[in-house]
Amino acid sequence: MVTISSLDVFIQVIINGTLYGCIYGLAAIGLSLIFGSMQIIFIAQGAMMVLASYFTYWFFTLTSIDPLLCFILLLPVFYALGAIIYRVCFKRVARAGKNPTLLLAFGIMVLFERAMALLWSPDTRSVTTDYTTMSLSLGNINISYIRLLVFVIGIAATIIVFLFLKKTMWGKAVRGSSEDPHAAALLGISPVKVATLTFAIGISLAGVAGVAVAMSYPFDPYFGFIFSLKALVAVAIGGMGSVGGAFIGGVLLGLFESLGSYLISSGWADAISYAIFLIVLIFFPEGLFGRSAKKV
Amino acid sequence: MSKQPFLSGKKGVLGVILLIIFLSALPIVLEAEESYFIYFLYISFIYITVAQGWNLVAGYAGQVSLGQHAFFGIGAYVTAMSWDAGLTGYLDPVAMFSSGAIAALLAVIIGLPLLGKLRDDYFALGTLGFAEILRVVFIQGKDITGGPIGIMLPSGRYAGMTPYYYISLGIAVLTLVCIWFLIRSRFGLGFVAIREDEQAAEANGIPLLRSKILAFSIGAFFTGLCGSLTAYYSFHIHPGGVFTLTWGLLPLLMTILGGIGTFWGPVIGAVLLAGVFELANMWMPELHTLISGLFIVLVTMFMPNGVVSLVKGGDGPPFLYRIGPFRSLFGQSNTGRVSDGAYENGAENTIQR
Amino acid sequence: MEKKLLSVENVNVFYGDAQAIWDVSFHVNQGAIVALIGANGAGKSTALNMISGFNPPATGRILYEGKSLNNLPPEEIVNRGISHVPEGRRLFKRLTVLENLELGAFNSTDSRKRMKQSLEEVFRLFPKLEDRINQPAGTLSGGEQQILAIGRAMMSQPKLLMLDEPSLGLAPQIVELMFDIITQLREKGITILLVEQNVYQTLRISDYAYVLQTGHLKMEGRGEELLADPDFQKTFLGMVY
Repeated sequence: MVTISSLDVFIQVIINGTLYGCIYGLAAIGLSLIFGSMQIIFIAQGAMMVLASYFTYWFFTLTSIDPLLCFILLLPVFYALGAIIYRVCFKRVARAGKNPTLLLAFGIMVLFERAMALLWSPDTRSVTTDYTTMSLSLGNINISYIRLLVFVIGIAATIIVFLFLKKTMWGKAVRGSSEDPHAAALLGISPVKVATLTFAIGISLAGVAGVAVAMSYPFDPYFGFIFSLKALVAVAIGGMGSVGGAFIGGVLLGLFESLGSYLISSGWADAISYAIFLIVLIFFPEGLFGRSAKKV
Repeated sequence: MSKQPFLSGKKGVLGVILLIIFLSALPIVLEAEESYFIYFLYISFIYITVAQGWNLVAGYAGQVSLGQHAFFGIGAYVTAMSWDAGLTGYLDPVAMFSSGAIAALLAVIIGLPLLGKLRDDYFALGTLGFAEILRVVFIQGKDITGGPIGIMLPSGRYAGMTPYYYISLGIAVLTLVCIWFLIRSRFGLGFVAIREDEQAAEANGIPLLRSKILAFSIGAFFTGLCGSLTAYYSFHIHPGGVFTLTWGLLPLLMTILGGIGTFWGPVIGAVLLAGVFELANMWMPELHTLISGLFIVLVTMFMPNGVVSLVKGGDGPPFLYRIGPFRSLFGQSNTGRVSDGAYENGAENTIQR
Repeated sequence: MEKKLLSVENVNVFYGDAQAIWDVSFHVNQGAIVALIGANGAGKSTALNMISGFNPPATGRILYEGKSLNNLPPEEIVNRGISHVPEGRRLFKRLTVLENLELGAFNSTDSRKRMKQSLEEVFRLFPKLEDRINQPAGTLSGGEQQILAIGRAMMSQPKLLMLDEPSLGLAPQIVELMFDIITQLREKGITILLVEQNVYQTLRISDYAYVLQTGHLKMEGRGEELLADPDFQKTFLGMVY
């Protein structure tokens, strides 16, 4: 057992965890949106993130332009990618039920992961610029600028998605269609269009998360799967169906992991996440904000 | 559903017996050590077993588990640890049976909270989480489990391919026979009732939790057996080898490919997929996993009902059966235009749960 | 000369392999209230689902304003001016009254531009909805929910309004209210195709009615005619002399 040697270290752990959790949160928002509207567990979300990380890496390596630009550049790219993936793959499978869609998502994940490993080798990559290691110092506590940026982006993304769902016509259409796709179709809301839209938004969020990952940590093609699982945990903590909850869930997860690693040991970090997951599922199925995972 | 179940009746039984005799004779006819085909069959039998085990809980009882690798890994580790500690020996039936039994026990323990409280997809995720936890536990196990390196077993004891072949054949036959009779028993009917409509099943006096746990643990038992045999085959067990997603998702893949919820679906899917993987591995080892991924995607996109539905002409997986528009693709009915089924998820949700 | 707004000709409709409607023909004149009545399972809802595009007929034609509706996607049919209020209303219970209404106008940019107007009209017709404008639809009473469902369907300014069992599950006074509303709607120039099990009330307000029994068209006639017909009275009104 490690004793808490100083308050500063403890606070640093908390801050690190929270900021790391923002990346989980970003991945989780997309997942939550897709799951909430289409009941598809898009387990390939992590793989999409890693793809974005690679784009960022190559963008920077080949052009030497500031990779921060990728946050903006990749948004439309991944939006389109999401729409394409839905149209080409999921649309025809949606009617076959949950098992085939889960399997399809898994297949896409495997496909993308392997393709990336083949194209770009399984070696770890990371993106470092002059500022990636710079941080804000408050006394003994360091807050990396990048991670702060990610935090801000995460909050912004959550707010934007929230506003979209609450205030825009298409957002309301997504909410209505998630609740009752048939009723929505009766009003002229094409379920295919709703699905394409949510998928596109979901994947573009994965893209943003991927850029964040590239700038923060070393990554490799298989990094994505763990992220997908963690994102799922985040969604469960926050509550299925709640987009804001997903982000908060991600932050909390990052926090728990960080604390857990510090207090127990880092090897157990993953197990802690999954344990939290199980506990939440079994004892708090609604999560913090969401609809119940329990049987009706 | 007016067609006879494939291979039932006297002709069917005879056919199956002949097949078993044929398969048993193969290692004698072919040079077991040199023959790739024998190895291929060995792998196929294992795949058939784990696939059918998953099919029992997911296809028949309707509870999708994504954590089968937990049982596979436990089975492997129990065998390895027990041999390493000198408690049991090489290809020891006691060890193997215990591995399966402990895996089944684990299924009961984890099944109680998960199956008792969680809806289908959350149960699936719960099993996945559990398996991942188990993996980390074994990685962190240091001296008890050998940590990330795992346990090395005395490979000098390798007695040739033949015993493995027969054992795996035996396990596969045992699994198939058990499940065949199980699904025709009142338990089996209970499973299907639960799958179709839980509330109605419960209202008819079917004990939900007990039945689900029964299916879950039986599947776990056979999966554990396979883990055990694999431990004996590889002589080296480590978390990265047995607690992998591969063993968690292969059964899914094979069963859905072949036809989930049917008896022969997992068998067909297992053999087919074993073939695809091995071929891909032989011809294009670098591209092997890529092709596997592509294969998964294509199959789920174009044949979500599985191969069986093609072979049996649409009389395929029962709970995908009522998706009318898809059946019309096989010329089954004239509901007119195949509707954009995305919104049928809503209707489908009410039907299934 | 009364103009036929909707004309269904010799349709056969299936659910999978099971036939639900057998060679049925009917039409709805502009500005009329036409009823499809019959017991459960008679095929009434199937007929509406067929018209709104969810279960196209295997054979036969559906003509609307002279043009064919066969094989059009549901979104397109809504755009043509046909609104379907399904059995059980199917409101978005988690969304507010206002949001439900707004989504009613989703189908075209025209509808959305006229949203304010449409909302005013709906609130004029159903002032109670305005009181509850920000409440989740699920908190409304049965009658209010039905009104909301109708209001929502009105938001797309339909020419043909199809109502599936609007009186189902409602208290008797509310049922009366419902039928009053339907008559009011007709006065506003909307054509109504009404599917109901509540035979007596329905026939009183209908201009014309078709009687379906297990997917076959058994009888048809003007409302009062059917009410006065002794066979009809025996079979559907339980009046035995």
